[in-house]
Amino acid sequence: MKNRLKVLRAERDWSQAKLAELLDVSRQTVNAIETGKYDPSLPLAFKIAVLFEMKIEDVFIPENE
Amino acid sequence: MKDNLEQNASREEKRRNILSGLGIGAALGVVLWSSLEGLLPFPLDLLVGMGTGLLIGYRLGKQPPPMLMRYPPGVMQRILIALAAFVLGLFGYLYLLELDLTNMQKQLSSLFAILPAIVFVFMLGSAIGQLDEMQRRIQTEGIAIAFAGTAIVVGIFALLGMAGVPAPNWGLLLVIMTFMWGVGKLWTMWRYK
Repeated sequence: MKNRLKVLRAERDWSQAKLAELLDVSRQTVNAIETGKYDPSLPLAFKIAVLFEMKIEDVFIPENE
Repeated sequence: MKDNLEQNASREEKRRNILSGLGIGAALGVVLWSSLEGLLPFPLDLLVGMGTGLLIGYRLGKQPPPMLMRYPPGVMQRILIALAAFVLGLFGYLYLLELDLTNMQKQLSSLFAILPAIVFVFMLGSAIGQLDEMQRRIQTEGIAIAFAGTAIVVGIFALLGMAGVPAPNWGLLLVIMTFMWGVGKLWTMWRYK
């Protein structure tokens, strides 16, 4: 699954550490999600979408799209 | 150009890493001290062990390997205390074995020596429960790999036993399991890196 996390984070001028703090996860987890190595759980994906005030499908995009 | 938003660890994070590293280094120092015993005169063995452990701990803490599991400081502190109690309990037990005790007393002391180990395992489980979802997955996959690996080793020992090879010290299995947990964790961490 692809995602726009890095772009959204950059738009807000947030560091990975800042985003990790806001999501209550480790910086490594944010990095793994951004690089597409790790797909977050549904609750975390919703938390990310709520944080960026977006729909979940606007943040996470299926691989085949 | 490197994304300047992917900043390094904060000062607070670095401070915690160094403190955790020092704690781990001290624990490692005790282990090194016990393994160096007999090679160097006392207290040089203790000093070399603690010094090496502290240096390794400080280095790891100052610049931790990528994606190193970092527990919250309070949890890390409890783990280190439990680990210290476990190591001390183990050494205490070994000391008691050398005394002129009855068999019943020796058996009872072995049961008491396992109590800190139970606390240590409980602390580890509690710490894993406080990790975030990806770190928990890494730990779980590491444990699964360790379980499978240990099962294979036990099978090998059992087959060798049937062929007349004497049974090993079962304490060795703990070392093998811990080693495989580490390897499994590193492999899983590498996958998510």
